[in-house]
Amino acid sequence: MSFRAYFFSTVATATATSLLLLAACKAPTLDDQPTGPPTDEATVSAQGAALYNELCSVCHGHQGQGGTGPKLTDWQKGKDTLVQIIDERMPTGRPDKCKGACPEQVASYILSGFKKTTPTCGERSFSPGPRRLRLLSKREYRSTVATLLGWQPPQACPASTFGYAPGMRTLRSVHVAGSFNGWAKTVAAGGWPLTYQADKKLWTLTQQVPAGNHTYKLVLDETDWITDPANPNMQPDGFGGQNSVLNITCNGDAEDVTARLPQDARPEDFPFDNHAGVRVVTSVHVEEFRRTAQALADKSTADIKKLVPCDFTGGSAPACAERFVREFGQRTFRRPLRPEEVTRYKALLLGRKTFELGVKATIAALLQSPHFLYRSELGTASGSGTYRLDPYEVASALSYFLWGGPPDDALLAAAAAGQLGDAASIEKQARRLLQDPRSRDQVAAFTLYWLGADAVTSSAKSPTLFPGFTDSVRQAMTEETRRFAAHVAFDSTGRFDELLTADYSFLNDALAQIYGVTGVTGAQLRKQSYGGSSGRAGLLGHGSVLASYSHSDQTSPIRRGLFVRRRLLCQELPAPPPNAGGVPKVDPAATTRERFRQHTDNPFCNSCHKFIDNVGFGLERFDAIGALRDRENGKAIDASGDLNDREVLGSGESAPYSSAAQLGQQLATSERARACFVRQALRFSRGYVEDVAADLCTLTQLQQRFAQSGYRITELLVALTTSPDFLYRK
Amino acid sequence: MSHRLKRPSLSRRSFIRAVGGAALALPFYELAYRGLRSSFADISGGARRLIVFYFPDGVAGPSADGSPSVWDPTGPERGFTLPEQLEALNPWKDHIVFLKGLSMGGTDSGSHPGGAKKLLTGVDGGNGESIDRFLARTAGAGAPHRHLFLGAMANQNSASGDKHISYLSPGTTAPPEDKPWQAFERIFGKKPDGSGGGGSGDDTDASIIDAVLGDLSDLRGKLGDTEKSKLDLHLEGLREVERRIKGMAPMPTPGTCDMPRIDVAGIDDKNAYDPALFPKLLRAQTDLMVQAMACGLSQVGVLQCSMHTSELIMSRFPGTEMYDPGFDMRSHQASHYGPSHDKSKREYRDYLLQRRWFVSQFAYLLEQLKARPEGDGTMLDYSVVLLCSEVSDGNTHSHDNMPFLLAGRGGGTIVPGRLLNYSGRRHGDLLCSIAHSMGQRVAGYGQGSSGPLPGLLK
Repeated sequence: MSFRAYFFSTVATATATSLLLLAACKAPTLDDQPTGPPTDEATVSAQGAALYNELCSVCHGHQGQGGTGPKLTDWQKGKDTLVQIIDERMPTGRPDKCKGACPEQVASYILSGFKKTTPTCGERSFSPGPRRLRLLSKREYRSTVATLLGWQPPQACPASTFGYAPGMRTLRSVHVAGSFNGWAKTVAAGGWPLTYQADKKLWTLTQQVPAGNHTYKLVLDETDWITDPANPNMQPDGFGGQNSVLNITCNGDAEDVTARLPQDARPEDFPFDNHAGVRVVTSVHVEEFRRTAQALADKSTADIKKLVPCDFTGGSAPACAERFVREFGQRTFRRPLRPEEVTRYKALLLGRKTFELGVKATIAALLQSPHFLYRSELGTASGSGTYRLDPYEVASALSYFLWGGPPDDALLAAAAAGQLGDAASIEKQARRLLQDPRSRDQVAAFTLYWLGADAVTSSAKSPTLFPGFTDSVRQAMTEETRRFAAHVAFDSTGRFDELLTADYSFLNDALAQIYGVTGVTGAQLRKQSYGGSSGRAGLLGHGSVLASYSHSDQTSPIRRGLFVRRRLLCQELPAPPPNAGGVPKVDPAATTRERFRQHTDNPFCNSCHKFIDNVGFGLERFDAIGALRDRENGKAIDASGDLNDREVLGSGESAPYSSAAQLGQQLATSERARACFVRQALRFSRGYVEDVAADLCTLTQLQQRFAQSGYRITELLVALTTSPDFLYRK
Repeated sequence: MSHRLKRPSLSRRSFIRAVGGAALALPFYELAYRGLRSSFADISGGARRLIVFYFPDGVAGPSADGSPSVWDPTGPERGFTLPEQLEALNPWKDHIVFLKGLSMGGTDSGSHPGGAKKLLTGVDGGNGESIDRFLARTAGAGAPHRHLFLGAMANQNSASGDKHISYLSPGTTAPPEDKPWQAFERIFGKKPDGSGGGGSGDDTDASIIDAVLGDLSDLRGKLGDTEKSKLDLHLEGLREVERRIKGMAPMPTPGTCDMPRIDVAGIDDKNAYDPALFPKLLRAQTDLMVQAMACGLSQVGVLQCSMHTSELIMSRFPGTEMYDPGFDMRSHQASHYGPSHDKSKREYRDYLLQRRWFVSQFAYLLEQLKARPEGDGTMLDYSVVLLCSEVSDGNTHSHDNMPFLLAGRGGGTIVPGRLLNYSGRRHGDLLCSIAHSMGQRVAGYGQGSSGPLPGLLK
C-alpha cells in the first residue's frame, strides 16, 4: 500500500470515533470481575507449595526432609513461631523474597505434612496486574515509527566485486583487509579471500559490504599490502601511504532511528526489553526523544504533499491542519485525539511561520508526547477497585504483545466499533495477528531475550583463541536463533519441545564451519540438519547461547548450568557464599570438567554446584564460541551429566543424560520446563515477574491450555490474550 | 549558599540558550569563558559538585586466611603510608581522606549485586534513592544537566539493572551512557570534533515542549498514585530540558571552561566493547565529566567502570603493566585470587595490577580537577570525589571495611590529608557526610546511619 493510500484508509477509522464513544459509555460487563485466588485451605496450601518449591526446597528438601538446611518434618514449636522465623529470616540472606502472605502460606504447606493439594481455581480467580503506563522499548519504538511514517523494510545492500590481476606473479593468496573486517592480517583472522580464476588470470571476490564509508587494502600472500589497482578512490592511510576507499550506500544496514535512545533497563530477574516498571523517562531520555523526534520530523516532511492529505494553501489551512492533526494524531496516539488535544496541536501547527514548518513541529511534538511514548494500560474503573482496559488499550496490548509494534487499521477499526471487550473477539484478532509476518519477528525477539542470547553481540572473546569470531559471525548467531524460533513456531510442529530437540538449525558457511557441519556455502542462513554425532540439538546447541554463557577464553559450566536452571526451569539457587572462590585456573593438562571437580569433591560446594555444573557439563563439547570440539587439551570430552532435581529443587530426583541432545530431551519433556516457558511468556506479555502464589490460578489455567494444545507456542500466546487477566488491572 | 546569588555579567539567557544547543551563533564556551571566569573568583563555602568514581570487584582487602587488608594505608592520621594498590595516589595524599573500617551491613554480604545495590543507596536491595540522585535533585537542581551518569562498558552483555549503581528511586536504576560521543553532543550541543550544533533559531522548540507538557499534565491528572511517580520523573526531565531550551536555568557555578574536547577517534558503536579500547573510553568519559562540570553544566556525576562480576579483560589494555595479549585476565576472575595474599599466584599479581590501574585513573580525574582554577583554588578544592567499589575484598566479597576514599576539599567543608578509622560505622554515614558537604543537612542516609561521620567534616 502506498503511503498516501495508507493515509486515506485511516480516515474511515477516524469517522468511527463516535461509535467508540458510545461503546465506552456502556457499562462494562462485570461477570468476569477478578476475585483473586480463593482462600480455602487447599488453595492456600497449594500456594504455599508453589512458594516452598521456589524458595525453600533447595535447602530443606522438597518434602522437608532436610539438606543444607534443617529438616522440617517434625516441627514442634507451633505455627506462629514458624511463620515468624520465615518472615524474619527466610530464605537465608534474602528474607525480602517472602513477605506479606508468603510466610503464612509456606507454613501452612509445611505443617500440612507437604501434602499436595489442588487449588480450587475458578474463572474469576485471577489477580489483576497493576495499572501501568508502559514506555515503548527501543524495539517497539523502531517498529512504531516505521509503521507510522510508512517506511519500507530495508533493502539488501548490493554486493561489491573485488578483482586483482597478478600479471606474471604467482600468488598463494589474495585477500581484502579493511575497516569492515578489522584489517585482518590473514584469511584465518577474518580476511576476505579472493579466488583465482585460471581462465581469466584474475583473482576475484564478490562480497556483501555493509553500508558506510570503508577503507581497505588488498593483501598479497598475507604479506604485501597494496591499494586496489582497480579502484581510483584513495585517501592517506596515516602511515605515509594510501588506502582504497569504498562508500556503500543502501538502507539494508539503515541507520537505526533508535540508536541514540538509552538502553532499555531491566531488573535482574526479568529477561525481556519491555519491563513495565523500571523503564522510566529521565532527562537523558527526554533529550534523546527530542533529538530523535526532530530528526524523524525533518526526514518525514521532505515531501510535504505526500504527508498532508489536503490542500493547505490560503483559507484551506485551518481545516487541513485539523484534518492532519486528527488523522496523524490518531495513528501516533493509537486512539482518536481528544478535543483539547486537537486544539493544542492545531494551534502548534498554525502558529509556525509556514504550514510546512507547522507540520514538522507537530510531528516532532506528537513523537515526544507521553501518549505516543507510553501505551496506556490504565483502563476504566469497573468497580471494586479494578479497571478494565478500553478497546484501544486492548488493541495496543494485542499488537505490542504479538507484533512488537502498533495496531493496524483493522485493530483500530475493531476498537472504534467497540469490539475487543470479550475473549471471543480478542481471540479472533490474536489469531489474525499471528498470521502476519510481524508475529514471526516477535516470537524471534521473545526467544532471544528469554535465552539472554542477545549478549553474544557484545560479549568479549579472545581474538587470539577465536580469530574467526567476527561481528558477522555474532550477527549470524543471533539471526540463527531468531530464524529457528520463528520456524519452529510457525513452519514446523509449532511445539515447545522442538525448540529443545531439533536436529537442525539455520546456518551459513561461517556457522557451519564453527559447528562442524559440512556442505553449507554462502553467507545466507539456510535450514540445515546437524548430522553426525556432535550431540548438538535445539536451542542449547546454538552458538548465541553457548557463547553468551561462556567466558572470553573458556567455557563456563557454571554460567551454562545457571542458564538452564534460571531461564529454562525458572529455578533460583541461593547466592554463592562469601569466599566461594572463582573460576578454577586454566590448566593446559586438564579438561574444564576436571578443573571444576573441586566443586563436586568439596561437599559444601557440591550442595549447590550439583545443580549447576552437572548441567553445564552436558554442553562441554561446545567451546566458548559454540564450536564443536571432541577433545580438550588432548583429552576426550565427557559430556554426560544429570539434570537432577529437574522438577523441583531438593527432590534428589535423577535425570541423567549422556549428550547435549539428551539434555535437551530431558528439558523438552519436563513439566517444570513447560511451566517455566509459560511463566516467561507471561512476563513478556505483562512486563513484570509473576508471583507464584497470587498468580497461581492464572498460571495453572495457562499451563492447562498449553498442555491441551499439545504445547504449541502460538496457542500459548492466544491463551495469554484470552486470559481474563489480559483485560483487567487494579 | 551565597555563591548562588552571584550573577555573571553575561546574560543568563544567551548563555543557557547556547549550551542548550538551541542557538549556537558563537561557540558557547567562548561566551562562557569571556563572561564568567572572573565572576566567580570569590566564591567559597560548601562543595559545589560530587563525582563518584566506581570500579568493579573490590580490592585486595583482608584475606580469607586472616591477613590484614593490603588496601588500607598504615600509620597515624597524618603521615601515613600508602600500600601498593594506592601508589598512584602518593602525589595526592594531601587532597584525600582515606577511610578505614566502614561497613555496608550484613545483608547480602558475600554478594556482588547485593553490594552494588547498597553502595550509593545505603539501603539493602537497592531499596532507596542513591546519594547522587538525591543531590542532583537538591543541591544540583539548578544545573542545566542535573545528573551525569557516564559508563565505560557498563552495559556490556545486555547488563541488567542490578549492575548499575545509580538508583533513581527504590529498585529502579537507569543505565549509564556508554557512548561518550553521544553524551558529549547532548551536553555541549556539538560532536566531539567540534562539528554540528545549531538549532531551529526560532521559538519552535519551546512551543513543542509546551505541547508535550500539556499532554503530560493531562495524563498526570488521570492517574492514581501508581504511575504518578513515573510521570513525575518524566516531568522533571522535561522541565530540565525546557530550562535548557528556554534559557530558564539558573546560572550554575563554573570553574574555568576551556574548549571542550574528548578523544574518541576510532571508537564507534561496533567496537565499543573491545576491551583494548576501555582505557580510551574511560579517559574520554572522565574528560567529559570534568569539562561539563568546569563549564558549570552539571554538579553531580557518576563514572561507572564496567560492572560488578566484571568480564572486562584487563590484560588487553595496551601499554599497561597488565598487558598480555596471550592471556585473558578478567577483573572478576582475578578478584578470586585465593585464600591468601600470595604473589606467586598470577591471579593475585594481576588483581593488584588491575586495582592499581583503576586507582591511577582516579588519580587522573583528580589531576584534571586540580588543573582547572576555581575561586581561590582549583576545581578539586570545591569538589567531593568518592572512590568506591561494591565489595571490599574481592575474594571474600565482604561488605565490611569498604574501600572508600574521599578526595577534594569540598569547598572548605573537608580537611583532606588524613587517614581516619570508622570501624563500626555504616557507610550511610559517609553518604550523609557527602550530603552535608553539599549543603544538604540530612539526619542520616540509608539504613543504620546516625549522621555525618564524626571528625570528617569541618
